[in-house]
Amino acid sequence: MRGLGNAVRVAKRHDQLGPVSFAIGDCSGDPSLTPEVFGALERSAHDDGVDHLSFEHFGSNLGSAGGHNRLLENSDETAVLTFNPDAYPSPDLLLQLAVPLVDKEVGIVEAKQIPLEHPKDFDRTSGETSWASTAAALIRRSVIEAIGGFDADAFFLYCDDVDFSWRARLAGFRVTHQPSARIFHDKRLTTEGTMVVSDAEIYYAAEAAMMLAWKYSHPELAMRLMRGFSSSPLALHRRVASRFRARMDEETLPHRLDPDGHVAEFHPDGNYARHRFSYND
Amino acid sequence: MSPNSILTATMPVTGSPTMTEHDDRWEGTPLGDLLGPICAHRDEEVGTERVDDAEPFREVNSESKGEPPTPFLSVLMRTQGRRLATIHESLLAMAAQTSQNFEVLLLAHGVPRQGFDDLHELVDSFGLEFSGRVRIIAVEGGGRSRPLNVGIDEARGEYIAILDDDDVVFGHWVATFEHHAIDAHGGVIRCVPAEQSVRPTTWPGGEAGYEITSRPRCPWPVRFDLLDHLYENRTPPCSFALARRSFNDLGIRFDESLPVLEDWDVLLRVAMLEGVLDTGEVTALWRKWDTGDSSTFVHSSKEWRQARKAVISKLDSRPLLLPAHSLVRLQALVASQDRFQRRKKLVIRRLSTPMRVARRLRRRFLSRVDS
Repeated sequence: MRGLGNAVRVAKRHDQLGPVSFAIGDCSGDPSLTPEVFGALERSAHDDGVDHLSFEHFGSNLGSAGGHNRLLENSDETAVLTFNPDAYPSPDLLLQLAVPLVDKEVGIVEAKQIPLEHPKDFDRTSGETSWASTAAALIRRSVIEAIGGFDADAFFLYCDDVDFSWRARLAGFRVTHQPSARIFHDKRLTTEGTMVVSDAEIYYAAEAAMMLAWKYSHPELAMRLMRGFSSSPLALHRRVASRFRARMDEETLPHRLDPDGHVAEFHPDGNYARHRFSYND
Repeated sequence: MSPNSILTATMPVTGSPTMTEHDDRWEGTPLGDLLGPICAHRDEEVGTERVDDAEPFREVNSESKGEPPTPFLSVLMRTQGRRLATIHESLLAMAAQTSQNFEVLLLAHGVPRQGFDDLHELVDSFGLEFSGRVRIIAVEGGGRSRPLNVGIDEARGEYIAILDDDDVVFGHWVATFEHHAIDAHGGVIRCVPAEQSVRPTTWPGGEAGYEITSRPRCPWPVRFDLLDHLYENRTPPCSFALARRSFNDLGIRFDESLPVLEDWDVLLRVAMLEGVLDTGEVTALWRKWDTGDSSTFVHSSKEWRQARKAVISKLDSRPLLLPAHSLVRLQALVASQDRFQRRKKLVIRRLSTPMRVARRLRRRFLSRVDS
């Protein structure tokens, strides 16, 4: 919060920011903020130039897509910054993210993550990229109005941002990566140089892979993934495959989009964009 | 985890004879050669008075004396002000640390006025809570070691770490050093370094930036091994922290005659005397430039070779203090060398058999002809 407040202060000092609201969504079982802590945060945010601060305890884990949607319900600002709680912004984050939005066709601008940069490729001149991570992304309001928020029914924790970006592109917007807009995203490396992944990441990344393939008109890929996860030595994979099968039987899988493959990318290495390098070679 | 601490001579026991008392019983011995420079430095610090009490490792909380609290870590960040894109990220990574018990000494080495102002503007943009713990210090002259020595003189932390302006750290870099400090007993605290290749580029919008060209790798060992490190450096500077007392009590400074490898030289000297505690955690990302103005390219291969030779010859001019169990390693090394020599002789003998036979036959033939 302090880092975000500082980013607001810096942007306002440069006269680049109008009214700002912060909305904190809490998916934990018990509220993470006491009234006293919230009061202190509110005073600090006001000192930095934040006009309004709200805190909503959801009472259950809505996932990232569901959580974002709940917070978006009460917002009407011209642009929305999505921001992960385990991230810390650069002081000029907002200033840098706003630069590509001058182009009306740009709908979403994604920040660069350090220390472990996302390997997704982007156009070196325009910054254009396949999709934007919502760990820190500035979204034009008209994008949300055009596509109606995140698909919380299909995506719980991962790939909700891939889907959001692809639908924005189908609606005619461009998605860009802005390397000079940085956030510190608290990721860790193993001594083998690979990313540390949690059980939740394993489960929801597998679920999202099948959902994305299904939704973007690659049912054969979704089925292949499901069969692979069904025979995986990992119990988490077997469980997620079984859940996907159940949804297929219940006919609750998402409707198909992009049948001609205008925006969706499914690379043989399992990525949704061309990658410059891999963390798991 | 316990450190392979190997010497406690820097903490003299009350009442027992120590080198600080000008006891010359060790003079001319390997122990005297080893401890002499340390004790000479101590004598300079305390005059010729006897040191009666061992200095406690943890310093007295300076808050009680009305001074700002002593941070755990002083981070020495060298910069020539030419890589604002990476220094921005190094500072961002520090601002995001899970433990904020540190100060940053931003050592602006030969930075012109405009660059100095840019650094101030960048640091100030982080807000007072962070910028209040960053001191920008102008350093003029000297090579890569000069700013580090200036930083040591200015540092207030219990431990000192180096973070160059193109390296980046993970969120638990400071916390990991801090967590292991008690167990390290003033020795070196070492993390597992990772490296990632980068090259300069221009970002969309025209800003001079860099791009990553490889995945992160951990090519260096998880555990510190002094014998291996005596051969070559396997610990980049962003992956270890040294107790400030190592500099103050042992009189160690970065060798300003070295154009490069100054960190290797200090690491070896401190590691031999104070030991090393391995944390086993990957906490820092050392950036390896494919091209550009990094030390790899700015200094010629001849300078690197000469610096290596200088570090080795300096160490070799004094007795070496090796950690426990080194003898077995040394015996294995010598035995392996012996085996190699014996095999070499055997191979040469086998290969030369036809020639020896030919020479014998020729001698016989000539002797028959003569007779």
